[in-house]
Amino acid sequence: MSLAWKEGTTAFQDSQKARYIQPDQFIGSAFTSYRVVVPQNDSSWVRILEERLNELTSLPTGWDGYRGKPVSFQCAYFVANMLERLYQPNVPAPSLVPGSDGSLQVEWHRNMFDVELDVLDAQNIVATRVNCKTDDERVIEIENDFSEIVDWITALSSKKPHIVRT
Amino acid sequence: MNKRPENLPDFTLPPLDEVVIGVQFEPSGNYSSIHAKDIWELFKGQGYPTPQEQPALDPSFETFGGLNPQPGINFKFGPPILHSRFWFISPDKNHLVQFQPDRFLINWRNRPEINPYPRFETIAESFEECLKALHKFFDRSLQSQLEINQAEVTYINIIPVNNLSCIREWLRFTNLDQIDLEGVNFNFSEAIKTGSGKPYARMSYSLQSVTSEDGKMNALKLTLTFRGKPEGTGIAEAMEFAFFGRSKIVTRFTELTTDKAHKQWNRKQ
Repeated sequence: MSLAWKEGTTAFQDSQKARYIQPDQFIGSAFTSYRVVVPQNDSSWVRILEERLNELTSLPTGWDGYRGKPVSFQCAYFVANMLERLYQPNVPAPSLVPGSDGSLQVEWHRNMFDVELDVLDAQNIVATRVNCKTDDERVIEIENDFSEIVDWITALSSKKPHIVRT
Repeated sequence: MNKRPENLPDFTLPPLDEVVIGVQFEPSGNYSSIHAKDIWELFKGQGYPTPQEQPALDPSFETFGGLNPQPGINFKFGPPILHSRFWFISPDKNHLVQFQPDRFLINWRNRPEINPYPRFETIAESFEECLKALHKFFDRSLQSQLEINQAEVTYINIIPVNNLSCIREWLRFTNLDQIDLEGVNFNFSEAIKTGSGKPYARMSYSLQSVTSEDGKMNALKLTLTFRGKPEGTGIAEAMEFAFFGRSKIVTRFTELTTDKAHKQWNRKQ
C-alpha cells in the first residue's frame, strides 16, 4: 500500500483514484413530491457569504482601529457549517458582523423579526429573536444543535413554508 | 490501561484495515511553523521517527438540526493555509501520528505480515500518552491550553468478496439479490443523543466497493466514524468519548454484519 490519501484523517487509505471503482453519484429522484437535497452552490447565500467569510478571516489584528481580534478560522468554519444547516432557499442571506473579541454575529432583520446569532466561539452561540410587533424577546444558548431556531429562520421566509419530505 | 467492556462483541480476525483516533482543538495563537521541530521531538522518541509533510485538514464540526438532514449549501472559503499537517511514522509503517495546529490523530493500519491488530485499548493508550505530551508542550512552550472541541474514532473494514452480488452474505441491511451489482457507493448517518435527547455526536457509515490494485480482487470497504463534541475540553473527556465511540462502532458493526460473516471473523462473544 502507498501512503497516498491525504485529504481525510484516514491517512493510510490508498488513493481513491488508484484503488476504487465508484459508480457515478445519483442526483435525481423518481418521486417528484420528494426533494433531493443537492448542495445549491449557486445560491445567493453562497455567492454573498463566501466572499464575506473570506474578508472576515483575512482581517488583521486591530482591524477596528483599536485592538480588534480577527475572526478565527475555526469560528468562521463553524459559522459556515451552521449556515449550511440553516439554509432555506426563500430566506435572504444574513449579514455577518465581526466583533472586536473575535466573535461573529449573524443577523437577519426581516418580516418584523430581528434574529441575531452571536457566535462567541465555535459551539458557543447566544441566539436572540425579537418580535418587533410585540417587543417579545427570546434568548437561548446553543452549542451544536440548531433545531430550536429553525422556526425562527422559516419565519423570515418570503414565501409560506412548504412541507419538505426527504 | 482501560479494559475492554465485557459484553462488547469480540472477533479474533476482524476485517479491520485502519483505525483512527483523533481530536480537534482550539489552535494556540502562539504556535508558528518554527515549533514543528519541537513537536517532532515529542514523538520521535515514542516510536514515530519519520516525518512527512502533508496539506492541512480544514476545521470540521458535527452540527445538528435544520430542515434538511444534509446541508443544502456548501461554503468554500478561507485564506491560504499557513501551516502544514505533519505525519510522524513508525519504523514498521503500521502506526502514524498526525499533527497540525488544531488537530492530533493516531492511525493504525493493518499489515498482518508485520504485526497483528494490537486492539483498540493499546492504540488508545498510545494516543493518550502522545496527547498528554502535546498538552504539556502547549502548556510549557506555547503558554496555551489544549482545549478539545471535537473527537473522533474511525474503523475501516475491508471485506473481500468473490463478487458483489453476494453482498447479502456479509451485510444484513442489503438485499440486492435481483441486481447484478457492478459497484456499491452507499452512505448514511445517525445522530447519537444523550439520555435527554440532545444530539452530541454523529455516527457516519460508508460502504463502497473497492478492487485490489491489480484489479483481481473485489472487496467491500465499510467505514464507521463516530465524531462529535466530548462532554468537556480535557483529555479525560476526549478519551471517554473515544471509548464510548469504539463501543458504539463495534456494536453497530456487529448488528450490520451477518452471522456467517461473524463465523468467518471468528466471533468470540
